[in-house]
Amino acid sequence: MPVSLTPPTFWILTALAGGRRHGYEILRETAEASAGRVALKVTTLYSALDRLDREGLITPDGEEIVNGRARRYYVLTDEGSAALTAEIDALETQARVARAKLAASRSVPSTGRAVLS
Amino acid sequence: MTGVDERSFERLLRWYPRGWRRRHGAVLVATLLEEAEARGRRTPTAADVRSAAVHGMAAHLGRRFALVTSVLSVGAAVTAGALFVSTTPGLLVLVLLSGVVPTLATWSVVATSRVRGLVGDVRAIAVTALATASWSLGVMASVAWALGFDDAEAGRPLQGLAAAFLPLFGGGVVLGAAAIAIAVEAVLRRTTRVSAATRCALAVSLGLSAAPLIGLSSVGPAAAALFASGAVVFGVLPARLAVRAPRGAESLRGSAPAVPLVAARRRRVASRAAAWVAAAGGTTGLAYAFFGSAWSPAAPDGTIAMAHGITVLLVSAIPLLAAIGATIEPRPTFRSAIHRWGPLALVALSLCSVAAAYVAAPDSAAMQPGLQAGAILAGAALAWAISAHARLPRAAAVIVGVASGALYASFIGVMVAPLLAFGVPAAALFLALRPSGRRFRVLPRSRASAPVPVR
Repeated sequence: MPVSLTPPTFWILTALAGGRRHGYEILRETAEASAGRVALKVTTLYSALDRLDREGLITPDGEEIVNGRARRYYVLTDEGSAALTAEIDALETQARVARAKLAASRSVPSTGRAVLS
Repeated sequence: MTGVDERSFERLLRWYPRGWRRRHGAVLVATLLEEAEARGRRTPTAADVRSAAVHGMAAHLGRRFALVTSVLSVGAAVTAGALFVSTTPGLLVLVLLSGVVPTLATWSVVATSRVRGLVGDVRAIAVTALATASWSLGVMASVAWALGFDDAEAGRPLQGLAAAFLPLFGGGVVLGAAAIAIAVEAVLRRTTRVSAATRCALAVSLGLSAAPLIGLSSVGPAAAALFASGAVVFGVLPARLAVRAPRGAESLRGSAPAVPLVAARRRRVASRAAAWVAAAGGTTGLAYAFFGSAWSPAAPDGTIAMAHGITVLLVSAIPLLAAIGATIEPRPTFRSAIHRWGPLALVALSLCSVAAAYVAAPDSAAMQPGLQAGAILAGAALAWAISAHARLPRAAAVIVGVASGALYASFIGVMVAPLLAFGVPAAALFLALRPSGRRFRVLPRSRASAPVPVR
């Protein structure tokens, strides 16, 4: 069973954590929130939305026609919210461990230099 | 809106299946147009076309495709098996056994994996293409081998296709190894948090070791039966396992779902306890099978020790079945419980029967009744599980279930049980130590559920 979220999935769920969004809004928010690191193609976005809907992490929440074009809105489900929370927990744990290692490695060279000198 | 060539964007939909176009086509095109206008483009870029091609082709690998291909593979395996035992096997049987059945089964497994989110679109397409090419070369290699055999028997030098056996087989193995490696890497990426280097190393080593073995063993009714019934079983396995909801998720939920969570926690504890019992018994059986003759007075030689070890391994698989049963997310109905535990109980009886047979080892004549009964019981379990759980019309599910059970009991049951026994310790340890993932059900899904802010 899938455990970790892929970066596109993470950013799509993050965009929907802000509330109800339609496809183009998700696309724009994903690019902005990830500082351009995740630039989804529209076709990739709808493939991901279809999969996330199938997995119960998001659900369609109405459609409307704007300027003759269809817009479908999506919202995060409770399960999607929990999955995003779990991913955030895991990322925070990873960041904490990495920060601790980095801090420890910074203290070692100074000791080493002291010993060498 | 002016200036955008709408038709060129609508043409991208041709890659998608009709059902997908009906559900998502209008909103996909609208979003494509909106993005094109924002970026000042008239037509799709080459990257847009490539992306539509990949995702559109992958969209064909859906639930229906998985079901149809697994049913077809069972049908082809039953046909080939019947022809194999009733006539002199000819070219048709060879093509069915070593080409059609495994190709259909592979397509089904890839589609099921994609539907369950284990494999992404790009990798699903890559694996499908590579595996199809691999099986095609494999079936040509089988025909080349048969022709070469005839040439050698007649004292003629190898020529034409017969002379191409090695490159055909080698090419098939290389493509198969690549397909397996890509599939394994994709599944590990989605289901674990191991590093990319570890993922790649595991995927490549598994691909390189499994592909030649599969290639060498894929000709014959037993392998075909295994592929076909494996695809059906994978398709009907429960997609969701009940696991621990993370700490943060509980804080989002409030107090409402306390009762389901307590029940889930109890199931988890029971599952882990049973898995530990199976792991302890299985490890003992494994140690006895390989080293029992060195220290046990009951095992005067290695053969007896191996037989006793297999008996212990088979009995240890019973708590493993209980662990699996407790892990499956239940539905609160008596009927559901019967269909969940019934097949597992039949498998447990089958294991007892095979274990009893191994007590009589190495007297193969004395072992046969127990082995045959074990194969039939396991086949019946398979038939029950598929008939009850396959997402097919009832009659179709029963037909596919009975066909799969018959395939298993006829061609692979006797061989598979002792082989699977050696996997008991690893499977039990996996269940006992399985980390909690993100797949859990917090509340009954409601399409009306409001967006929940993430803190």
